[in-house]
Amino acid sequence: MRLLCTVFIFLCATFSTNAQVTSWDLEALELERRIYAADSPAAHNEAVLAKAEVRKQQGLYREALGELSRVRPYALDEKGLAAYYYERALVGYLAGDFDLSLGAIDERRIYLPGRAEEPMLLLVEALAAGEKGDWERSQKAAIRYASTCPNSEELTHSLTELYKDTPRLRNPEVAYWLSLVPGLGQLYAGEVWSGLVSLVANGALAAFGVSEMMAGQWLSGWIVGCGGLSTTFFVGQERARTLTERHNTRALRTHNDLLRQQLLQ
Amino acid sequence: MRRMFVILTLLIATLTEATAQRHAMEDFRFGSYLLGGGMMRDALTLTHSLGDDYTPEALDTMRYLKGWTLYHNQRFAEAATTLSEVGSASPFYPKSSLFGAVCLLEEGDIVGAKSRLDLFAATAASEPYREFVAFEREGIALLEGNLEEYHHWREQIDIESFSFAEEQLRLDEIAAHRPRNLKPWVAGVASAVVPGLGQIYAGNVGEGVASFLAVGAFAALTATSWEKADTPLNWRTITYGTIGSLLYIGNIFGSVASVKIYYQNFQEINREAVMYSIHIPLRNIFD
Repeated sequence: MRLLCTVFIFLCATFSTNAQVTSWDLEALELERRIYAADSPAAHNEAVLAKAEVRKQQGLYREALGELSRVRPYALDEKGLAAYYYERALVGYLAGDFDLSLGAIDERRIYLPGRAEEPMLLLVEALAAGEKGDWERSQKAAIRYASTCPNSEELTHSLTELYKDTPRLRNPEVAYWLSLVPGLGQLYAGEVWSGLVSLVANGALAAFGVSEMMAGQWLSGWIVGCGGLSTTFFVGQERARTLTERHNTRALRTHNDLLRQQLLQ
Repeated sequence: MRRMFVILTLLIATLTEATAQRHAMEDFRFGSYLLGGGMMRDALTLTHSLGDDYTPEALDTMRYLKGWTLYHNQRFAEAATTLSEVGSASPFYPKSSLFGAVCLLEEGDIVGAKSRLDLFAATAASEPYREFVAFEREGIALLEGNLEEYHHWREQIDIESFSFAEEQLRLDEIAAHRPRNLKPWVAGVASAVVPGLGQIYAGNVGEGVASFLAVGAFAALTATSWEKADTPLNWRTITYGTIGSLLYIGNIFGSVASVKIYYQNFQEINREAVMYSIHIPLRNIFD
């Protein structure tokens, strides 16, 4: 009997050593086994949500989104459904898919109209809408989130100040067409030096072309002056568009970093 | 008491084997489910966590599963090694051998792929797959550029009765389409005589025309500047002449390089087409 007990303890020890493997991938695999063997939609959902959580912890947000898409929402109760939509919104935000994130929040409002919204959902909405440059939606969600915080008044005030100073995003197409006047598109994008360089380069090549023609060097005027000018002109137009897009990205990043900093304080 | 001990030992041994077999079956089914569902990360984790406490037959199946998973994850070197460990008694031996050879080809190991196929062809298990072996050998011959060997293996395939007739026709096309016999020095001389002609000789008409126009424009600029100044010693002639000369010389070297690039591209395109043609029928039959 004592021998049997010893053998049993030894076997248990071996088993528990194996069970202590903390690799996320092994955990995900075990959860997939549960999904594979699930005999009910509820068991399936439980394992899928747990596996999505594992992938989220691994920083594999796209994979986590893929797992969440396997959830069978019809088998979730109201609380589970709210948690599912929150996870989709959060993981969508973390994966950089802001449309999907905001879409999950919209879906939650349609399917669970009477249920109070969790503060964390509002936080995700404020951040995701901010990333999309939808300041109105972002501000609304941020203020609602702030109202649930202990330092509600102070946070609301600082958020109101922050949203007063939202960046004005510029249209890359406008920059492109403004560059019909060399350098103006770059100035519109806020790049003064780049605008000046473009203006000087175009001006110098035009002046060279004209002076060569006036000196009777028609071929040199046409090929070097006009050929060079057309190149710098069209390159300048494309550069103005690129600089405007870069300006927008930078402005969004700066503002959203401040927003995240305030909301997560 | 002794008899009871023997019976108990036998019982435990039988139960252990049965459990191992059952686990193997479960693991194999689960692994196939993961691969079928495109869960490559999970499939890889599963194959890495598999132990070796299976019966010899089950172990072969597990090796096949691991190799097949590695193949799906495009880890061809590991897949080739693992698939080569599948024993000839396994029902997965033919598939493992044929795909093992493909994995070696993906790694550029043509000698290894040939010897793998030869080893497989020497077994009785290869008899139903005789034409598959010949088809892979055809592809290898094309990769080597050995048309004689290609035709040798080609004769062993009856295209009418074959399920991969389309891919066979593609291999025939590749075999018929040989690279042009271009010489780098001819391209260089051609570009020295007429700028851009070397690129046109190598098949790059657009590049050739662009080179001709660029060098021609600077030659014209140099000539008109010289003519107007009545002397070559003026800044226009020197500047345009220098740029034009650099373009001219660069174009000659570029033409020589474009012939080399032509051959590289030809081989690369051929290799991709051959590999694609080999993969498709195998996947169609075995998947």
